[in-house]
Amino acid sequence: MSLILPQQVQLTEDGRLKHFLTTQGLSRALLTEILDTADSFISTQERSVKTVPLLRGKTVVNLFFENSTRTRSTFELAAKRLSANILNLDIARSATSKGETLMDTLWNLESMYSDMFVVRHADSGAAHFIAQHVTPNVAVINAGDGRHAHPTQAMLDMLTIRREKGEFENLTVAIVGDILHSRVARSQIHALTTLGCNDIRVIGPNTLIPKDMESLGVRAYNNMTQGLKGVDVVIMLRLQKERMQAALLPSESEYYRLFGLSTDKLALANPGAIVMHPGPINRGVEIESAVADGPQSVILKQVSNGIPMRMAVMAMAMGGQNQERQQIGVSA
Amino acid sequence: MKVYPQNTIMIQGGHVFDPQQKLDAVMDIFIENDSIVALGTPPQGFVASETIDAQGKMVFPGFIDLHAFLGEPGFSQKGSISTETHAAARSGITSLCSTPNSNPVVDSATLAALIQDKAKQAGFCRVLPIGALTAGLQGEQLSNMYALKDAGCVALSNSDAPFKDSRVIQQCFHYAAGFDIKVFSTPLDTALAHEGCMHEGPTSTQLGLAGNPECAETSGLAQQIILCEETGIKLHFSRITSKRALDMILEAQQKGLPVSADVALGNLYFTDEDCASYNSLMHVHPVYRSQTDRQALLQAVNDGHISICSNHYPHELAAKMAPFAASAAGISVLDSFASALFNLVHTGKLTLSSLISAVSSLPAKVLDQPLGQLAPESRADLCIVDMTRRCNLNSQDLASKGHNNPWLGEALMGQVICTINDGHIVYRA
Repeated sequence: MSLILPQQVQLTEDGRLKHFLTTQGLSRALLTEILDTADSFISTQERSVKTVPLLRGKTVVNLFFENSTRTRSTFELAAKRLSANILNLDIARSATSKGETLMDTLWNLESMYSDMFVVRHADSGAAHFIAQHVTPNVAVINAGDGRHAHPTQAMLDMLTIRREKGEFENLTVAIVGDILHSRVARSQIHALTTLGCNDIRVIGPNTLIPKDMESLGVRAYNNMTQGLKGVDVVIMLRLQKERMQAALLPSESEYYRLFGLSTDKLALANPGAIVMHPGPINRGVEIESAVADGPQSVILKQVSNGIPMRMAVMAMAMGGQNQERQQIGVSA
Repeated sequence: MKVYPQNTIMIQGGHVFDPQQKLDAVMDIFIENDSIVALGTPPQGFVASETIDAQGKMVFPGFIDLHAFLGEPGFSQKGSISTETHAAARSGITSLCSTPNSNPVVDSATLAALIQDKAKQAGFCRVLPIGALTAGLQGEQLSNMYALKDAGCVALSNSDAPFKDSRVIQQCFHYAAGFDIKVFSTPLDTALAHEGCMHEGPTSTQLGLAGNPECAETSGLAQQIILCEETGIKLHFSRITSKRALDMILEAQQKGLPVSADVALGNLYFTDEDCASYNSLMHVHPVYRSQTDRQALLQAVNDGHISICSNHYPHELAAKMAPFAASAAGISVLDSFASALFNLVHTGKLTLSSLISAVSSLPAKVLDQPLGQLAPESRADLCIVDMTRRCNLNSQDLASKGHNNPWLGEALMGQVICTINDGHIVYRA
């Protein structure tokens, strides 16, 4: 068994999606196709009968090695609205805690003839690893791997931005908070860059901004006054309590004072700027309630857009897999 | 009474190359029992019991590897003394330093003796054990240093295990210096390295993998250079990774401190960018650093400043079949060691003479042993190499138990076709 990974795991030979692991390295046309497909699913969500038969007869396994409520339930809803059978596995509390290796867990699940794995795992690169080592024709959707990527979250954010602000070329976007540990930020940066946004900023204390951040094509700021000036989209990131203990931050109060999004600080951004947050939010830690619930906040729209976006990538990846299966069938 | 030699070998027509002995010409070599008896013209009355035709081939001194994990005792799923020394012999290695991090740890004379006995029994390659610097490699109490030296340990090292605090390092150096014991050290400030599993830089940022910053190596190194100055310990810095560390070591040498260094073969080939596809074969310890670091390390070998070691660490497949950070660190090198090195010459990265020095005379000097030279009366350790033969190994060709070899399937230019150790032919292609 080869241990060498090919560079482009997630595309078929003719460039269609067969896994969805990262927003990095995908073309602008493909990202736009994902956004357009999700847009078309939004209208189906407003009907009284919300299901479409695109994944009828397929088995989707929600494989969550890390706890999650929101992401897992939106994936579950998305799969059900595509008419798939869905199995929820809470691995965090089952197999691996009994000492089973990741490979053994996967081989067991494959033996149950699954068609798609939706994976969340604490290790960066876990989704790539799984896509590389599962039986061909099982689609892998990354629902968050370590600090690396959370591509469906990033794409539902892109969908929200496009619906609120239009195209990306002339937008200035600031991502605020714990960039170091954020898979969401990394996926957003790649997606924004590819979609044509040329002013992306990250704002946070040095201890929460990873080394050589500029190599991703962004500018780093240590203060909100400079960073938020002229911004059209403010994306706030969740601050986890354990960061206080790891010598990364002094206290919640100092963090809020410097980087918490208050009404005053939001006033520095462009009028009409939107405020986003991947959730769950910490009121009074990274965001003031008045802002989170205010007219510029689109946080709940992001949640609504999560379902059509996940329907879109699941349908597209399954389409790519079906196409490969047919080709294999023809050549055999 | 004249004792008749039982074992006589003539190596005929090979291009003999040993930069330290200033040998660079086609000549015959004559071996009696365990020694080279003559180069060029045969000694009077020499009758070869075996003649090896080396025409069109090169003959080098046997190579010395300063750092290899053999897996025995305690890790039979990863390797054994017999399998891993077999792999070493296939790469022309005639002396190899084994690391103390077996299970149990090599912190007793018995274990040091056992390892050498097992290597002798296997008969592929001389094993020179590196003993543990602290008891159980726990980093707290001194090991029985003198007993270890007495049992044949060529150096002592704490392997990659951390010390409890800097006073333990100082006391180890202080004690060892009194008995003229050499210490091998891979400096690392473990707090700064934190959970880093690859070089901290643009690639780690992109991949979302925890980075091991260059300062983790250099700040550990700075401390040890100061302690070296204070205690007079003979220190060999094993597997250095960065340009800055290299500069610091050269500066210490210029100040007259008794320090030397080597680089792992992998660090001459790979950089942090090679981790970009989460390839677990690029998960190693110490880590691969930037392109600038790699160039500086190659240059240091070409300038004759540092040796090259294998940093061989075989693993079973399951240990590498995991997401990057969760996989075990290390690669299996010995089967490909020589071919990968010759390939660096073939691709213009290293000169042949600096390469040969870096795996023969330089490490011999580190060990202070009369090894790694082609001279009359010296030990008959040598290898014969076809520099124009392509070596393309697949996993079924490996002698090592570890198939975690990053050069599998790669066509490398240059292959060892015969290795002679102590006058015995231990490998023939």
